[in-house]
Amino acid sequence: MKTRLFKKALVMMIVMMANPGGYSAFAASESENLSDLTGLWVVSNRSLRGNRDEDFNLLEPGDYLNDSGLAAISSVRPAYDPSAMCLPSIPRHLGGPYPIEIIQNEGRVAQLFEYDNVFRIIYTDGREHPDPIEDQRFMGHATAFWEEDTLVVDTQNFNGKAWLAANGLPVSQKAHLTEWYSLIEDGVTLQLIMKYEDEEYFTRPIWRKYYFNLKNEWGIREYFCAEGNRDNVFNQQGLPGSLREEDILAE
Amino acid sequence: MKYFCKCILFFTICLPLTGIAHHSFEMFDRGNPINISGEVREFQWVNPHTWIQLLVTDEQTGEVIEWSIEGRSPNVLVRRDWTRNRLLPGEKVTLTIYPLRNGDPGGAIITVEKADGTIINADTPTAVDTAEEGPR
Repeated sequence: MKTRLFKKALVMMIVMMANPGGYSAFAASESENLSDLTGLWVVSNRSLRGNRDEDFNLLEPGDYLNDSGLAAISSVRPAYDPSAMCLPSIPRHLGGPYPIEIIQNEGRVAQLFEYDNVFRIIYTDGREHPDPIEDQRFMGHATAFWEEDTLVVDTQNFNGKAWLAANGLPVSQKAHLTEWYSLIEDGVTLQLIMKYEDEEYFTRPIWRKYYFNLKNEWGIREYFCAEGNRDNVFNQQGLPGSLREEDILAE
Repeated sequence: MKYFCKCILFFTICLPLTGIAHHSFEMFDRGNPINISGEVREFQWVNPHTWIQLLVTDEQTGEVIEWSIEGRSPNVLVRRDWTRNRLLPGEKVTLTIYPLRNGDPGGAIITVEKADGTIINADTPTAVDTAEEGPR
């Protein structure tokens, strides 16, 4: 035992000497053993959805949106909703009615979404976000660390093409999402607290609290949105969709 | 307009539903559910939404109009004991739906009453029992 501890201490010293900023990566990989979020999780009705303050009281749009944000939700055209075009987004996919499988490996936490059959890799190996101009994504780039048994996820590098919800509010390239994942209620419930910031459209952060039920007896099913999507003009059957032509054509 | 429903696209902020569906359900008149009876032409078991294509005969004119009724995805319904053969072509059913606001022959399904009187909850997001614990 003493030998193992000595080896760990030695490795930690070498890591710190080689790269002072690398300590967090080492600590994160060690502490991953303290908590295991692995499982199939389904969002619960108890979740506190909507846009809320830090005490989770619901806010009105005027409480948290700037003029640009209010303008965005005042002239919504559903045809432009990325979700109606089968495109994914974060945090929207976290609240869908479909299960999320979480798999943890050394340096990574994976979220496999049944919703649109997309995945998200959350890096816990200490890496930085890529260049926010050069590398932009619908679901952003996620890094994380463990704060005791809570996984703290930081997501940036959004591409500005997704919406926060169906109300037309974009997730801008300046959006910043922080998530705190922790197991409660004897490990059968996963609690997710979210803080969402976006200086492009918001005057203040908004918060949400989601609960997920453990449903390991379920399995991820196929979900290919393009199969029968009528929200695009051209669907699989070659028939017009539910949107009008003017909703597809650019103004 | 025979095989599809067009949707008037007035959106408002819809916080309770924004996170739970492929798209907003604001195009449906959730304050005024209606019943329609007819014959199932097709039950489309597809994502992101199932569709019931229902042939409804106008009692006065005898004209047959095809309605497109939108339901939850197969992924949700299969966990509520639905299968792709829950509704078969030729079946006579009565649907309770939230109709499209624009008056086109379409809507969102609430329940299905089969010919033997069995009522199936279609579990539309617009008909959620929010007191029930579970996935939505």
